[in-house]
Amino acid sequence: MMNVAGLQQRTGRYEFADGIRELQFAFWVLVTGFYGWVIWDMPDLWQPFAEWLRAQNAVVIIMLTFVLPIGIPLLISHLGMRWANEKLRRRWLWRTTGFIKAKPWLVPRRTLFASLTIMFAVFIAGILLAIQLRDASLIIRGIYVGTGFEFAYMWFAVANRFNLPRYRIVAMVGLASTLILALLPIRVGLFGLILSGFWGGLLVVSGLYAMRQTALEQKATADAS
Amino acid sequence: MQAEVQAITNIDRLIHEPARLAIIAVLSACESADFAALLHLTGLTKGNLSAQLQKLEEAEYITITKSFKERYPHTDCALTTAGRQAFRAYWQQVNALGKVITA
Repeated sequence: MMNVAGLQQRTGRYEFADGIRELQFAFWVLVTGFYGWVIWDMPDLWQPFAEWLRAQNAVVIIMLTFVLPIGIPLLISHLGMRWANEKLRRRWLWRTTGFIKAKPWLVPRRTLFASLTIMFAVFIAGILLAIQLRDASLIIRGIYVGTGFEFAYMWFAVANRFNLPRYRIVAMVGLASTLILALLPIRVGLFGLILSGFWGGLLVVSGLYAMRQTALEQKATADAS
Repeated sequence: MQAEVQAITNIDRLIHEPARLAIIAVLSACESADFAALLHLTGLTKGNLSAQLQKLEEAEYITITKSFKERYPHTDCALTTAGRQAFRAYWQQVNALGKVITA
C-alpha cells in the first residue's frame, strides 16, 4: 500500500526545508522586537513625534501610526518572499526538485489556536503576577515570555507535522533561552529586544544553514545528472 | 457483507491506480506543483507521469497550465474542487474498508 500520508508530508516539507520561511519569520521577530524596544526604552525618541502627531488629522495619524510601521514591513516581507520564490527557489534551491506552491494555511489552525492559547495563558499569568507584586512591567514581560513559548510550541508542532528535526532544535533552544531570559532582571524594553534578537538570530542561523544544505544537495543532484 | 462488497466495487478506480494516487496525494498537500516536482516526489518516469496527468485532466480532477519560464516550457498542475472532493471520498472509503478488513 502506498504511503499517502508520507507523500503529503514530503510535499508540505518543501515550504519549510530550505530555510526561507525561517528567514521571513526572523525578519518579523526582529522588526517587532525593535518596535517594542523603541516604545518602552526610547520614549525621548518618539514622544516629540507623538506630540506633533496628536495635532494632525485622523488620516495622517492612522497612516503614521499603523499603516507605515506595519505596512512597510509587510510589503518588504511580501516582496522578499516573492523574490525568494522566483530567484532563490526556482533557480537555486528547488532547481532539480521542482516548484511547489504551498497552501495558504500550512500550519494547521488547531496548532495556531493552541499556540495563541499558550501566549494568552502566560500573558494572563503576567497580569496576575503584576497585580500581586504591584509591578506593571510584568504585564509586558508576560506578553514577551508568552510569545516566546508560543513560538517554541509552533516550531515544535511544525517539526512534528513535517518531520523536521532542525525545527525541534530551534524550538528547544528558543524555549530554553526564553525561560532563562524571563528570570533575568532586565528592563522590559531591553528584555523584548534581547528576546526577539535571540529568536531572530536563532532563526537566521537555522535558515541560512538550511539554505546552504539545500543548495549543496541541489548542486550534487544537478552534477550527478 | 454485501455493503462492503458494494463499497469495494464503488471505489474510484481513477484515483485507486497507484501512480495517479501518488499524483493526487502530492497535489492535495499543496496549491500547485510543477512537472519537475511531481517527477521528484512520485518517482514516476516522464512518460508515465504525462499519461497519468492527461487522464486526471480528462476526468477534470486536475488542471494543467502550460507556460514559459525564461524561455523554457513549464507545466503547473493543481487539484480541482472536484478532484479534491473525489480524493476525500476515496480516502474515506479506503479507511472504512480498512476498518472492515481488520475487524
